[in-house]
Amino acid sequence: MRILLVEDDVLLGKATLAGLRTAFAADWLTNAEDAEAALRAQSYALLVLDINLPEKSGLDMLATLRAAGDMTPCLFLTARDAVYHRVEGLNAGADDYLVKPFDLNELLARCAALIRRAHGRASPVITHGDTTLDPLSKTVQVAGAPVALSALEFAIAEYLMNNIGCVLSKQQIESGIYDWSHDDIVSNTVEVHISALRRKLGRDFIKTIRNVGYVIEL
Amino acid sequence: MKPVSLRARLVKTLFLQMMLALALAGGLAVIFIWREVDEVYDATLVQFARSLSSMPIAELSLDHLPQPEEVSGVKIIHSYERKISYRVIKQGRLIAQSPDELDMGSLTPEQGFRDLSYDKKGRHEWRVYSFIEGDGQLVIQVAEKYDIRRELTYQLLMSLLLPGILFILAALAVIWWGTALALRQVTGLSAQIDGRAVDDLSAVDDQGVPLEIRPLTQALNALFARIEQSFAREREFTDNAAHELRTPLAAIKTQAQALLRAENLTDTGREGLGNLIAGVDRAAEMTDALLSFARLQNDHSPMSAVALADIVQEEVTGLATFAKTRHIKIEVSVDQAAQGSIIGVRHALAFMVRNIVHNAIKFSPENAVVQVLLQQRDDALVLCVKDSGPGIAQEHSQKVFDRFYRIQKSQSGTGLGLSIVKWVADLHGAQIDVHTPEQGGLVFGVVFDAIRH
Repeated sequence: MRILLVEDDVLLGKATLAGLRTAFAADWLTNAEDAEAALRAQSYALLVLDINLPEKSGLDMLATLRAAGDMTPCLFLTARDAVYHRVEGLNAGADDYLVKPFDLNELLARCAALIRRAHGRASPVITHGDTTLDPLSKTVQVAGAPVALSALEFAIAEYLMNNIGCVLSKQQIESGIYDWSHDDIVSNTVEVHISALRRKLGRDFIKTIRNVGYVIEL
Repeated sequence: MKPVSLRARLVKTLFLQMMLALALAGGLAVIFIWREVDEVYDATLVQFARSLSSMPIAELSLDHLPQPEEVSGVKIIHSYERKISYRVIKQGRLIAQSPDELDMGSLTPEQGFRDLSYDKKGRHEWRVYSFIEGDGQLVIQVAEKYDIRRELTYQLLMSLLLPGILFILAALAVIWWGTALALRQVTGLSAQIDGRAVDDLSAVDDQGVPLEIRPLTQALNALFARIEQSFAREREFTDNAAHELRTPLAAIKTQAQALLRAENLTDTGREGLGNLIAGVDRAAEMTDALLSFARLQNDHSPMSAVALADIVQEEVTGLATFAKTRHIKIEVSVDQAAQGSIIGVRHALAFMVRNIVHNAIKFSPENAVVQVLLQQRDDALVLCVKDSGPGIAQEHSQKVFDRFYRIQKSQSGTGLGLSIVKWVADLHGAQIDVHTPEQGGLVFGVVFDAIRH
């Protein structure tokens, strides 16, 4: 799950990015214009937006985004605990907010909840057949027994399980699980991890649609 | 300095000045009138003397005594008639004289005017004119009492001064009334300023305010604008300070928490990061407390009637989660009589109640009960929070309200909460009564003046 963080304060941006990357793939930009460009080029599971951005504010950016029909879930960060900021933010189309200084664990939990809800799930864990995936604790169980997955294997499994029934191309999977910190993607990385997942979760867990991509069938 | 009535001073000054002017005018008038009256009366005396001289001598015998008006044909003022005397001297012998037989001195006078004898006040009593005809063969002397001149001068002067005095009195009355009318706008202005709320910094309406008072209203409005600006700057500063202080703290904490989530962390590293986060939390708490304090102090919200009972209910509800984590039961009891309002700032009072109840929960042992009572005692509304914590020893009971004072340095907290509570109490003129009863715990009382209904 890839998250876009927009935060103009470098110190806080770096820290938040590091925090988000402990649970998600995440990119960080410092202004609204760059963020809008990134959102046009790439789909994100969630937008974490600071309200007080230089030049174009987070609120304006969000309003533009919603007007253009972009439904990416959005959590906004505000340093001021003034109630009107929260009201304005939610009215501009945000789904949730956090007041700085926030607790990283709370931020991650809220991000997970927003992504979950965007995929129409109420339960924090994703279940398919006898496979259960918990995005927060980063654990996968098959028939009650824990299965050890590498971080990237987990990310691919989570991405596919969040999109059960949808055929996803190799490029889509790559852009969904890798952020800009990974510029060393080898062309067959996804294939390698998928075959590892099949070995750990069962041969038929992920189907290959020739020349299109991969799918977890309903 | 004793306050001066502008109006009284104006009228007093004007009265003195006008009276002085009138006195000066009167003085000059006396000189002019006296001179004119003198000339007129001297002229009639001369005329009278000439008339007498033109009469046949025979008629001027002692047997026939013509009355002055008979001679001159001029009837002078009736009441002064008898104040004219005359005598006729022919060749050094008195041949005729008016009935009063006034002694006009030498029978061979010089031609012209002369003053005669003195009255009780040492003034000349008579004005004598001696007319000499021929080679002194016939001397006609006419005399007139000065009284008549003085009387006339006095009358003329009075006819000038009396209307003058009346004019001054009337003018002063008009000024007195007129200034009252003009000052009514000033009175209206002061009523306007008097009637506004303490925190109302809007410009004074100077419609209809006289030009002379305009500089005052303008200065006042400029002052209001400056105060308002400085309030706004203070608020802005507090908001900016909040942002600038919280952001780096948030960054440090997030970074530490991100590190803490890494898998390859040693126990030492984990403990170090935990301490780091605790330190940052403490700094953040302190920042929040300081900013709340600054906000409350910079806040110039109007005081209004506030139902303390509602605030107590709201804040206790807000603290329910915290109480639950410590397994503490909060019992709220509000007297039926304590539903009244006090005059205060709502969010400051909310802060106060929250702080006192929060402390009570924090210092109580687990599974304890915290009592929050709101009672009416005579004219006072008393908020009383009782806990079963360690209480406050006598030697600390006043110091706990000092800023940054903490009884136990190991105890978490900023040492600011109670000083803010004290500040809010002072703002509302409320008394704080803190004591530890014999059975232990703490009784925290705040006594407000209730509004009488």
